[in-house]
Amino acid sequence: MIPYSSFSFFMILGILLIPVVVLGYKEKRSIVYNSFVHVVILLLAFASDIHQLVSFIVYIFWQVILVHWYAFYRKEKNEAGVFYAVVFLALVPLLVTKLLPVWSMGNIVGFLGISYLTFKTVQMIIDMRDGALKTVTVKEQLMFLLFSPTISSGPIDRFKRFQKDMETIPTREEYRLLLYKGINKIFLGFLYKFIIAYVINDRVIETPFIQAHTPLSTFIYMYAYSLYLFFDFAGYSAFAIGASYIMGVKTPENFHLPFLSKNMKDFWNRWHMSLSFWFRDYVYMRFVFWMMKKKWIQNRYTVSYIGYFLLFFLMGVWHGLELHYVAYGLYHAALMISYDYFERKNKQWKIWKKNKGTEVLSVIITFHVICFGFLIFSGRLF
Amino acid sequence: MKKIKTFFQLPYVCWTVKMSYYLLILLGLLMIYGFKMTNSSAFIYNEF
Repeated sequence: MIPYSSFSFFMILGILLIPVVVLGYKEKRSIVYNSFVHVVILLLAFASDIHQLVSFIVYIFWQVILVHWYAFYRKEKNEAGVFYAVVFLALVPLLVTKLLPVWSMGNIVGFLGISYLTFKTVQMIIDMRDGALKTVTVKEQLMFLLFSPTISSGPIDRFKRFQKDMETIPTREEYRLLLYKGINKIFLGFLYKFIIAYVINDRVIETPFIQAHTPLSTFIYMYAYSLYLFFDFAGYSAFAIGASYIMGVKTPENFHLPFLSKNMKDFWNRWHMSLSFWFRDYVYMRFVFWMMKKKWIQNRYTVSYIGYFLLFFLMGVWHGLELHYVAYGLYHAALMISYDYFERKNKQWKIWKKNKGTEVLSVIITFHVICFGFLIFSGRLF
Repeated sequence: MKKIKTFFQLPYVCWTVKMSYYLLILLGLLMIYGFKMTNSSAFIYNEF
């Protein structure tokens, strides 16, 4: 049973959360009961496929061993080679999962949510390397990795932020607000996923006219698919964030009105935020810092553009090794670099002045450019 | 404008609006899916 994909899942989740709500109102939290909730949800997600269940258990053991070995090593030493080797080993299960379909082999390693667990683990290893994370217990790591509301597709939380929530028990008034926000989010998820996304898919995308692959149908499909993708994923995110709130954890947002973005930088601060911030912090920033330190390239703009290229190429490849995902990543890299160049030059040339009219025009242009990106992403073009 | 804002900030108005919003969503779900415990399609991002 895929989390949040059926009404029966919501019924089970609702029943499981009753004691959590009662304890929340009493300003209490039971780690034992919360762990029971997580185990039940994880069993619901993985038990129907024994391969997935076994892969999931082996994967968790693998990541716990890696993180704890590195934490132990990091107390004494800080070799770059060892750090890169540990990051690579943490990425191996995900890499194998992405590569097996390319080699036309059955995916026996992968399981639902492997990417998101990998992002969480790599984040912990990098934070240890930076000295931002000194110690972590097995219990803390398991609580972070196995937090069931976000297990299947994020949002990708940060260990320190999550840890802070786990250490703080909300007051009665704070919990009342969290519960209220959580229920609101879950209803928003129903509206997005089960009503709007369903109607767009059923009444537009799946119609014979749109499936006919004419230039006009592809043009309409571009906008319909963009909206469908947003309402599907924002719906999932609302469910995950809502359930997290009810469990007293303020999981970060994934979306903030992305179709009202004024430019590409603004878009990536509003779309799949937890992923784009992860790539910004752990790929782009680290790459730029590393290149500046090595001084191989003097021009900081060139370094930044190579960083953007790397970030979006990896983000594209992460979706899959199919050509349309790689093209989607490169398309966004080209857009981001072009926008950054234009923004810099516009400060001298002043051809795009800031006023209400240009702001509205910017939103309209950005919306169409984004939708074309989603058309590439959909795989309909190639 | 200020009067309308104040009106919508009244606790019983807020409660009624919120309840109507929830009920409309439930009604929408009922219209599309009925009482069947349907298994909807998975989410697009579950694939990644």
